[in-house]
Amino acid sequence: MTTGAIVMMLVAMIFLWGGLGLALFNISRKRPTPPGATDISAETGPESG
Amino acid sequence: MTTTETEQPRGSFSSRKVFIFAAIGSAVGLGNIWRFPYVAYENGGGAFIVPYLVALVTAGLPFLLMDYGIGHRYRGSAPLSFRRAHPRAEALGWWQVAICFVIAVYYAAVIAWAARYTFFSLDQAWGDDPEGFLFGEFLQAGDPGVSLDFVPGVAWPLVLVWVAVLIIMVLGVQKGIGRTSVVFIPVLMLTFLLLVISALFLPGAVDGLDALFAPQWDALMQTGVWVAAFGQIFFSLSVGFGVMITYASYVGRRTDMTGSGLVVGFANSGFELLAGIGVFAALGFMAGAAGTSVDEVATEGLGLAFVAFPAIISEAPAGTLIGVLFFGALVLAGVTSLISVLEVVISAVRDKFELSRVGASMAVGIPAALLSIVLLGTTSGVYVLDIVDHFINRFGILLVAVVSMLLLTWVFRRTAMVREHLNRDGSVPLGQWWSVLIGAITPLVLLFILANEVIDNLQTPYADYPAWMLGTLGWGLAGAVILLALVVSRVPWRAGTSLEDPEPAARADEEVAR
Repeated sequence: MTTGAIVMMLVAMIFLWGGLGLALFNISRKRPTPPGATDISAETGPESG
Repeated sequence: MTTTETEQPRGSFSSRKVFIFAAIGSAVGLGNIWRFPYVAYENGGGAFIVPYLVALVTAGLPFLLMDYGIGHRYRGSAPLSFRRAHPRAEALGWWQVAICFVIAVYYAAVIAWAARYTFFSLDQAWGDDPEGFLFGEFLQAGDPGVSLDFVPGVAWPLVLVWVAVLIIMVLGVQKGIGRTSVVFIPVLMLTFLLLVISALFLPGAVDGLDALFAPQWDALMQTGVWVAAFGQIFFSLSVGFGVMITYASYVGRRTDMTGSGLVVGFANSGFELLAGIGVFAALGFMAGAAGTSVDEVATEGLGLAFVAFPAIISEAPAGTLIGVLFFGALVLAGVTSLISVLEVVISAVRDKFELSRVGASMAVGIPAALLSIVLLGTTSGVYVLDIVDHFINRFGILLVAVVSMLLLTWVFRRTAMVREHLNRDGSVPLGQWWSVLIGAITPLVLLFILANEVIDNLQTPYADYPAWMLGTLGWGLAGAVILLALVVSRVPWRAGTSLEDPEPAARADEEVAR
């Protein structure tokens, strides 16, 4: 592979897979439950058949 | 009384994790595997990464968050969410619903083909002529036209696909869509990872990767390359046609939607990159085996999946394994996307007509399945699929996306409200820049793409099909979905359905609960 191709492949990997890693890290951080937050099924209800 | 107390239970995802899996399942589809690699290769190779990343950040993610915001704030199917956003916006939702119905009808056929090819891979049934086998023995394609000559080898797998998918839909949002996604997406990722590893060990794989990633920097000066990048991001993310609105309406109200959106957006693009590596490693091997250049063998779409890959499978060491992994991945990616577009329709029918889950699934699924089998299970199926896919993508999805974005921003003026909603619990704050991207930059770029497509298709009839086929299955269908949307939006909602924005009442409830 040419140097240019290797560099661009690495750039794509760093941005896309690194971006995914950061995004996952961001949502995995513990955050306090917002006041008034309810259980999800209490909001939308169990599905009727 | 809150709005949620007056309505039929709509179902929900049990957690944000399930929602994210379902949303990734919708976004990661056949296009990620068979479109992205070739688009990147054709538009500057490694240099394409630059416009692609720009398009992801300035158009794809903002648009995805807009869809999330609409569904999450207004808490309904696409038509109900638009209706709650503005009394005159409902038809936009039905336009999206009609498009999803059309997509479901033909998308199922590709899944059926891929399922058959998974088994064909075991004994390489295509022999030494994959193209002849595809159009001859397998599809039995005649002259372009609409025929009612059924091809049992296509029609029966199509029936099975529809039965499987309808069972998933009947099971509901969490038990059907949620559980399927939670199982299928990790299996898909693992399957594709194994495929990529297998492909990377093939002789000539490096030549394929070099062809894909070698940057041609002068391509960045061409408008067409930037247009291709924005088009790829737009079509790949499942934005603008109701899927993400519908899925977001099934998530708890105090959920961080911006953080979730970033995960879905980057997972989708990350998978595309993986697909590019796997596909071009395999194409590099194929070129080496044929004693030619990658340029000669590079292709996309049906040609890549059902002609080039069978040829690779026939030549490669462990070709059977590569075949099963590749076509198995297509089936998994296809099913999770198919259930998402069907859910757009089922959810809308449920909301509008207050049907049960089973009733709505059947009311939508049975006609869709019948149409699918009649139109795609015959000797003319491949032509119907090709034309409908071409036109509904451009003059359906792209057009409704541009129109809805412009109307929501400039006529109904709802972007600020949606932004405020997303920022309330979002971990990634959206500034004024987001409104500018949504209201001006993204629609302008999409409008430019759309205008180019209109001119191209008027100047050169698509693929030299007969004018009557392009007129009915192409332009006619694209127009019919708009007409249908306008008609259905005139049907009154049931008395029990609240058409108010649910947010103020929900916030009032929160105040009381404190």
